[in-house]
Amino acid sequence: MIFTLEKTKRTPSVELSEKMLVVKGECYPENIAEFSEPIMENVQAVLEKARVFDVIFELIYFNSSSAMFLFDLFNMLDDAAGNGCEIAVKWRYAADDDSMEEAGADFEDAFEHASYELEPRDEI
Amino acid sequence: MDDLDADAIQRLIVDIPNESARSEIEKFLREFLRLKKTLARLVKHADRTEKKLEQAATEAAEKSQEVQELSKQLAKYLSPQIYSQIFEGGQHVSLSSSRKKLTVSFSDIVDFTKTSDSMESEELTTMLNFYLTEMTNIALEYEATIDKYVGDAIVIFFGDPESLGVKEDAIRCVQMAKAMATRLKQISDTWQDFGLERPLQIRMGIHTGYCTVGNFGSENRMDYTVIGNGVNLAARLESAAKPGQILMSFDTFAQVKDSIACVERDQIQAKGFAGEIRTFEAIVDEANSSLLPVNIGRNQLTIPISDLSTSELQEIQTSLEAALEKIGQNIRAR
Repeated sequence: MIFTLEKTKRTPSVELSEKMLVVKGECYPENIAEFSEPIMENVQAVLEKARVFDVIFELIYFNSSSAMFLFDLFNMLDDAAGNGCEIAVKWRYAADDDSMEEAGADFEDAFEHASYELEPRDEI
Repeated sequence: MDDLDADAIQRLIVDIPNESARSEIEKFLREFLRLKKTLARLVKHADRTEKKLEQAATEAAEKSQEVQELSKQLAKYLSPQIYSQIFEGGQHVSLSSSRKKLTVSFSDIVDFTKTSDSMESEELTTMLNFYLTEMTNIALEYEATIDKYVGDAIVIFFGDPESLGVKEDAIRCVQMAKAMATRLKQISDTWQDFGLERPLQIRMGIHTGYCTVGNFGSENRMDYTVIGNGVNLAARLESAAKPGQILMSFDTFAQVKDSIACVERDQIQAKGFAGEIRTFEAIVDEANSSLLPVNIGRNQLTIPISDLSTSELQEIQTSLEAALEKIGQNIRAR
């Protein structure tokens, strides 16, 4: 594992390896820059070398500043996909959670090059 | 700018001759386009969040209304003072108690068991609820803490959770008792409507003393009540009271004697108490009572004329005549 962050009351768990990024939980950190910068830096470094990279999001809630972070991350992933890395993004949400389903649908048009899939689950 | 997309960018930069400048401008426009899209998504996200907040606020308001309705229902099972203390945060609900000097009153309907045996249960329920409502309204008017109803018996105390001072609490309790007795007389014709041949009569016992008051029971189920010898004595006084009588202990009499007309009655033996207990009766209808009040400074001598024999009254008459003569001489000498 290259980079990990443990889940807290306000931030999700983050697990980054050479081939995968998994983000799970709630995201409304007190300081979004403090939370997001190390993730962006480490993901950027991995993408520079990766040829295949999978991403899984399982978020229950995120605030507006976290939305901005997610957009920036998706842009980074899509740029890497545009440069030849095979990237697959999954947006997992609880089947009865309309908000996360709608949020996931909003993110779909951020991806021109990477593949993006919405995945409803019985439980998150 | 609203129509800016990848094709539009190409159209915009196609005529720029300088390749380097064209590349920079294309990069700038693409980044601008990306930010524009991100902004649109953020606004959409914000709108969605706002909608959820509104929904949550509406649900919270509905829940709050539900809770208020429930608490109104629950309030009927609690004394208003206890309810206020809990819901205003003045009292934390836990198994705790304290020792305080309270005035405790017990009352019940004379021969209730006999009366209830002769009535149908529906009539009995209606009659009892009518009686308890009348008495409760008076208790609440005097800001009493209604401890409990046990059939026709009502247990009330003054001094907790709020107190006006031991003396004032005692005075209020006895005044309440008098008001109850008066009210019962006022509605004496009502009992016929319930099928009773004779009007109901109550008896009351009142004592002022240290009691333990608070929550008793278990963490899962508790009762706010009062216990102790003081409570027991009030109950014994009630048992010893005659129909229509408000019987109090010396401790209560000592608090109320300057404010309320009372007359000493026979001493009683009370189970669980050593020695004889002095008792005093509060006079309900002072105007029509057969009491002879004699005010001496701050003290009041109350003579129960109807309870005395002829020879006793003659003895008092002789004594008072001598006292009056002496007072006259004293005034003349000044």
